[in-house]
Amino acid sequence: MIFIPGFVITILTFPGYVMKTVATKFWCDVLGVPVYDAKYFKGTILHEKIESAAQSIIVALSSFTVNTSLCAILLFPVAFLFFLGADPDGLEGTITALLAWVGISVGMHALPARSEIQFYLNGIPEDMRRGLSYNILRAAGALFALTDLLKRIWLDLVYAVAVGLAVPLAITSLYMAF
Amino acid sequence: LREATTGSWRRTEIFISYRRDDASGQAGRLYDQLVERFGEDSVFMDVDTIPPGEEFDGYIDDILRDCYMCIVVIGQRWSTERLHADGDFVRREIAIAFARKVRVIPALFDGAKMPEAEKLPAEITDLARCEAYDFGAGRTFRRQVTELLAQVDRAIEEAKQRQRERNREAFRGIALRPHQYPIWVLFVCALIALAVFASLTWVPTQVRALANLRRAEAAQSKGDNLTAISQFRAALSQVATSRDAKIGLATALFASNSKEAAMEAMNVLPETLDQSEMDQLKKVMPAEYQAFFKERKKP
Repeated sequence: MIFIPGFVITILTFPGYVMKTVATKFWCDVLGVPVYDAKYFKGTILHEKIESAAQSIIVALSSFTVNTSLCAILLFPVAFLFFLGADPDGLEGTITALLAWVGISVGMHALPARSEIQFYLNGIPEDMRRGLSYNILRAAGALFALTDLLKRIWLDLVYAVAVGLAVPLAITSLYMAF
Repeated sequence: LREATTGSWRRTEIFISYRRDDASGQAGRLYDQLVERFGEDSVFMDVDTIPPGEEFDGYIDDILRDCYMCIVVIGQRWSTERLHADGDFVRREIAIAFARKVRVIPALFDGAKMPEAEKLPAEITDLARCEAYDFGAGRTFRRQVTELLAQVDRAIEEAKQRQRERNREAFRGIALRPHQYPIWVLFVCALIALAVFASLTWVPTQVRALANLRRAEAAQSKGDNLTAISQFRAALSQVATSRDAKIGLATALFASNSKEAAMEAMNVLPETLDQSEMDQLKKVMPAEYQAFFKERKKP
């Protein structure tokens, strides 16, 4: 297994950390949750406790949805060029390489840590721990506990690449079908 | 920070103020009932809970500062005159409770009456206006306490809510301003937004190119060279660097057995070819072109 020091990954994938923090802060701001600190290079945010399960889902999964969407969009051209067997050079090649770097960086930080979801679960008062929203959050907690384990074998990178390849294929299939 | 905003760091929630020579027995029983309900850490009565060596006045001050409720036990011998004495602890307890906006509930025992406001020291005259709970005759003590506990529950919940709101308001002062980000973060976001825009404007052409390539490959596998050639050409017109389209078009052109088509195929082919591409072309490429190709394309 390849071991790369954390600071190297942080530097290489900093656009992903930035987008993760921005996405979480943005939704906290939209929902009126006060934010006390934001570490854009660590992807962490210190905000007011959220007692609503529905709001917790929005904030907890904000980086997942935003980073995944951005990853798919940014990797569109890269994936299409790959499927077309294209060999871009010059400016096109440079732009493609930049899009690939930013897209993979953003996609690698899409999966939240289990501890993040657990923080939101713990924040919900005992008497509000029921209903669809709470159970969705619990299911997300279980899912991301599994992905946490698999990140040791580079699941985050695999996820980014898979999102980047799967979405363009789906779009092309739909285009050809209709 | 979380604890501060939820109030969960609190230990003492209810303070019992009483005079030892007035209704200490009733105060003790009330304390036992409250402890049974809320836990030992949540109820303060000086006799049992002041740690050895603590200065009484300061300790009471600290405890009351964080309390939700102060129950003032008033019996027949609860003297208003003593409240005016210097350093009277009961007066001080009640005064701090009012100053801290702690809810005060007078608990009347043994037929005691509420003190009149004019007989009270200035700092605790509000006591006369508090809604008292009268432990009058005719009911069992446990039942009376149960009723009081319901009031205590409500009062504590209200106080906790108020405390949470106060804490939140206080913390809002140090919160970051909504929708404000450092300049460099905005710059990174702007670059990503630009990349998203570039990507989205690029995509329609690429989708069409990939669809043309797939259609061309399907037509080629069915032996429909004319359709394959037109679809490969369409794909190349959209993405000129598509190697798959170039090899596919050259293959289809060679397969059409025309000299012009073969010349076009030679012009379409990339500078170098790998083994699999060469193997694919050999099936349809005339021998003279293969030799020419080998000399020119693969030096």
